[in-house]
Parts: sequence; C-alpha cells; structure tokens
Amino acid sequence: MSEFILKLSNISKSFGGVKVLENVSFDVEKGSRHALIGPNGAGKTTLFNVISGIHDPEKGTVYFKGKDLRGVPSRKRIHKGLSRSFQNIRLMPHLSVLENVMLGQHSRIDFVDMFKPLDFLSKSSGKGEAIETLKSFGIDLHKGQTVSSLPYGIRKKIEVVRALMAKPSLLLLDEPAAGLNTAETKKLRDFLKEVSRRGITLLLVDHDMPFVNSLCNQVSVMNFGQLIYDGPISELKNDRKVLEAYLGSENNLEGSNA
Amino acid sequence: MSGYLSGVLAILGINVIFAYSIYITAATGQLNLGGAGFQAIGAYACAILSNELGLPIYLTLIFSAILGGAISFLIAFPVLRTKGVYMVLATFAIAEIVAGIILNSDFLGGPTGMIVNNYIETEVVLVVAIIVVFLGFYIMSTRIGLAMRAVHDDEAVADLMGVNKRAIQVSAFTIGGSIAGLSGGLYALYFGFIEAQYFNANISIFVLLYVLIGGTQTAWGPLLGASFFTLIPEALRIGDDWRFFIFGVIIVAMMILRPEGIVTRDALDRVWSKLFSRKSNV
Repeated sequence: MSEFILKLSNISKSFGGVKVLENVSFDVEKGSRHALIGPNGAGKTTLFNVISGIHDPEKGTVYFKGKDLRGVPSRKRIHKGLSRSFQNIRLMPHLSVLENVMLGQHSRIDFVDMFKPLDFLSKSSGKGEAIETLKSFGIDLHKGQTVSSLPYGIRKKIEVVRALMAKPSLLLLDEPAAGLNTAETKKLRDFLKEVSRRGITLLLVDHDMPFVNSLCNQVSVMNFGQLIYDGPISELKNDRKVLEAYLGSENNLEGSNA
Repeated sequence: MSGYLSGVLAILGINVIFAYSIYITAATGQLNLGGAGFQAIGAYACAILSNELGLPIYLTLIFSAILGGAISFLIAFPVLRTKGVYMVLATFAIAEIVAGIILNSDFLGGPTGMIVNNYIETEVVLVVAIIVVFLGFYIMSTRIGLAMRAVHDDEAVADLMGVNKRAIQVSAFTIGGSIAGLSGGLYALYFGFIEAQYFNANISIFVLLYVLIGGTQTAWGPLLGASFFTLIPEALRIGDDWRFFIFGVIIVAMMILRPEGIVTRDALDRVWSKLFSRKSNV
C-alpha cells in the first residue's frame, strides 16, 4: 500500500459568501510529483494557502504525515517539513540572493546560532551549504547581488531553492513555470525532477500542460472550487468531465514533451 | 580639544546612539516617531538615580537603558498591533504622554526641569557611541538581523519561512527603546540639566529623519544619517541666517536623489567591489 504524505479531507472555504473550496479531498503520495490544475479562479491557490496555514478551512482537515495540522500556525508548518513558493515571486527585494536563500534555512537554525555573525562563519552558519546548493542548481552569483537585478527565470529558480533550504519533505509550488520561456521551462522541469530524485514530494499548480505532463505522474483537477478529477496523469485525457469542464478539447491536454 | 569641538562631538555621539535606537526598530519595518519619549525616560531615570540615590555613573546609564527597554517592551504589544501611519501616530502619542507626565509631576521637576548631580566627559559619550554602533552592526550581521530585514520586506513570507515575526518586532522595539533610554541618560549626564520641553516632537522627527535619510537597509545608515544631520548644520554656521534654509534644501534634495537613503545595499556593494575588485563567486 502506498504511503500518503498529505491527505486533504473535505476542505471547504469561502470568502464573503463565495464558496472558493467545496469539500475538496485528495491525497498526495509520498515521493510523487503531483499536479493541481484547473482554470483561473478554481481555488488552487486558496487550497495552497489552506495547506500552508495562511487560511483556516471552514470545514475539513489537512493531514500532513498522518497528523492533523489544525491549530498549527503557518510559521510552524515549515518546521514540520512543509515548504512552498509563490505564484508571484516573493523574494525579499532588499536581501541579496544568498541572504534570501539563507532565510530559507531559518527553521533549521539553533537558537544560539541565530546570534552568530554570518560573515565570519562560512561553514557552520549554513552559508557554505547555501552557496553549494545554489551552485549545484547552476546559479553562480556575484557577492551581495540583489534579487531585483536578475532575470525572471533565475529569480523563479531562486525561490524554489529558498523553499528547498528548509529541507522539506513536501514542496508546494504555485505556478513555477508561469512567465518562463520554453528553454527556461525545460530547465525548470529537469531541475524539479532532480529535486524529486532527492526524495522530496512535489505538489504543484501550473497552467502549462506540456510542462505538467512531462513532469508529474499524478494530477488533481479543480473547477469552481470542486475536485473533478484525481488520478494518474496518463488517464487525464480520457476523462470526459475534465474535457468538458476545463480543457474544452482533447488537443489541449496532449502537449508535447517539449 | 576646544570646548566647541568637544560639545559638537558629544552631541554627535548622543545623536548617533539615538539614531541606532530608531534604526533597530525601522529595520523590521516599524516607524517609531516617539523617540523623544524614550530618550526622556532614560534621561529622567538617570537624573533621579544620580540625585536621589547617588548611584555611580555607569549604573545610572545601565538603569536608563533597562527602564527604556522595559517600558518599550510593555507598550510594544499594543503598539505593534498598529501598522504604517497608525504606528507612527501611536508612538508619537506615547512621547506626548511621557512629556505630559513629566510636565505635571513635581517629583520630576515639572516644567522647570531638573539639574543632574553627576557629570560625564565627551570621551564617555564617544566610547558608548562606538559600542552602540558595533552592537548595531553585530545585530544586523546575525541571523536575527536577517530575520529582521525579512520581516521588513515581506511579513507573510518571513512567517512562512518560520520567522517569529512578533518576537522579532517586539525584541527590536525593546532594544530600540533601551538604546534610546541610554542616549537620554548620556544627554542628562553630559548637559547636567534636563527639561521636558527639550524632549519634544522635533527631536523625534529629526531622529527618524537621521535614519530614513541615512538609509534603513544597512547598519551604516544611522551612522551616516546622524553625522550628516549633526555636522552639516554646524558647517553651515558660516552662512548664519541662511543655514536652516540651506539645510532644508539639502534635505529635500537628498530625498529626491536618494529616496532609499544615503547608504543602500546596492551602493555599498558597488563600493566594495570597486575597492577590492572582487568578482569572486558569492
């Protein structure tokens, strides 16, 4: 029997009378690359916000590694192994690239180490690890370089690296490929496959079907706050409900592997 | 050292310390427009402990810092519930309350002020200023400093990264209050006389300007900002009648030319790489 890292059970959420999520239930298998797709306004980002603790669900439960996350504040979820990126890049504009990445380590740092000056302790402070991780993903930077000077694709990648620095067991990615060109998307896909090989479960929202098809093995589809499909990505194009409600025609689902 | 130079240096030292008190809070994205109130708390604590209990100078200064910090800590919880311009107004109101209490208290000398029985030399002020500057740089160089800057940039994301936003903000506000208290204690001991009217809104506005014009992105900001604001008006004394006019023009020009402050991270980075021509990886 497969093991589930994340279980969503009957999640409902509304904003000012508008039901954004209605009884959403699905499981994310440990080690899988799971996509969450659906038209704009389907409730995908809201669901991410519920999982990461920004919003409390009105009904339903989020189980992470078998434990109910109710009452666990958003700040503490990263300590449990739940890390995420954002739909719009949310790197800290006044921090250098390295500092942004090191911020990702915050949840793993001992209280005493919080008081050590970073510039004099390249190894023990996690700085070395941050530099190595950036390098291993092909990001080599000039000292102190700020985030705003970098191209969009690299910033997107840095956000993922920052989320990875917490050493999560589940990584939530909100539209990681949005705004990337074909070459960048391909690089991102290889990068995320590498992340997945390192044993991290991925749950990602994206609109780029070729990207999702070539990366993910499981998919959940949402429409108007409800789950309309949940299963292997290979079966997706045979599901009539999905075709009618979301994609309109079969062609959109096929997407080459670029 | 001439009396004039020594006086300017002492004021510079006090202003630099005061600037770091506001900077530590501003580095987490909180604007404190009540600096004068916390400085007054430190000044009066120092004066009373000197006059009534005859405590030695170093003890009175330590108590000034402790009292400034303790009162900041207590009011941090309600004040930090407010944001942006509301926080500015809340801290401003606190300074007014402090001034009001002093003016109406006979024990504190009311509007006639208070003579302080102890006295320090300029050197003491400068040594304490150097320690505070190092403390400012030290805090900002740690992960605590990193977390503070993260809270400044994006509270919600910092929270999701595991940063305890509230603890960071309360600590920064408390440390800021305690440094402001210390600067007040030094002021009382150096000038030997304190009155509520001195710790007015102007002082609060000026110290906030030191920090904002100096730049809140690095620990260099308050040092440069306070020096700029203390020394330029002195240098402009030659122009006498026009000096405040010229000074005003300089401030407006600074705000237009360097809206993020004199020292920004990018500027600092450019200077470093020019000085050491380091293009090495990270």
